[in-house]
Amino acid sequence: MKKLPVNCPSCESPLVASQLSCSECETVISGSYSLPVLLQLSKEDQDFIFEFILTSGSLKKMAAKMAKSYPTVRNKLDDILEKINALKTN
Amino acid sequence: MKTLLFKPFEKYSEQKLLITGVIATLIGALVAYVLNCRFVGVFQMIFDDNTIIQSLIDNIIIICCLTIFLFIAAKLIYKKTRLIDIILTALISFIPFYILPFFNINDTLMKSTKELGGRFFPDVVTQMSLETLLPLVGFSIFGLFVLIWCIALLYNGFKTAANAKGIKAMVIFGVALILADIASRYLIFYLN
Repeated sequence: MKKLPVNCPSCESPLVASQLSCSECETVISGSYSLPVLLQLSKEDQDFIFEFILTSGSLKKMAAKMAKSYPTVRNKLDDILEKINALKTN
Repeated sequence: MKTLLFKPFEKYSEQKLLITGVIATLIGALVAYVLNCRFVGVFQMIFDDNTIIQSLIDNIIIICCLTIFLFIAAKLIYKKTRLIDIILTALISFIPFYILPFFNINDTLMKSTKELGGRFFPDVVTQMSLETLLPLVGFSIFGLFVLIWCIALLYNGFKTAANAKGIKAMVIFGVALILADIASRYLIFYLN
């Protein structure tokens, strides 16, 4: 799966979606839509959140699944929360 | 291997670390007793006759001091720090020190240090035999390596438990470690 670019490769500003298209009828919608906060996270962070939801929010289960200790997983979640808060503020 | 030796707190579960830490502490106390060594502070070891109970109490005091001071420091940095993670940091990080008593097999180092006494080192070195001097030099070099290893383990454990980052966290950790060392020396001296 291709990685969705979230920052401009030239000036590193956040990118916005300016065109959406239907793969069936080829309808194209143009505009300026900002990307949801979760999509602006790195692939690794998005995967972590996905796993978090799949384990019903249990860090202990996640730690066992990822073969990491509980505090390591909790720290990762805290770091992601920090990033989300920073993205929401910007 | 690097994770196992320096960052076990990032990977292994509480149960595994707790079992390893408790067993190692008991073995460490036994080894220190058999080989006539005493841990009389977080960073101090002496060669002296002792009892198994004394040896065990020494280790417990050191682990408790490390736990108390590192836990207070961790709480200052990160409110969600769990006590168990700090206990595990103290238990596991002290394991490398349990290797040091093996340098005193047949009281080798006890005899060497007694021979050294309080004399000025450069003078006495020329008078000492190579047989006496070599274990001392070996112990000093290995001791330094063990000390660095122990501090690295302590810091990595603390960092994981308290999600610590940056210079401020390092300074708080350093102060807590020094206070734990001072407190353990006093407690062992007065209680044990």
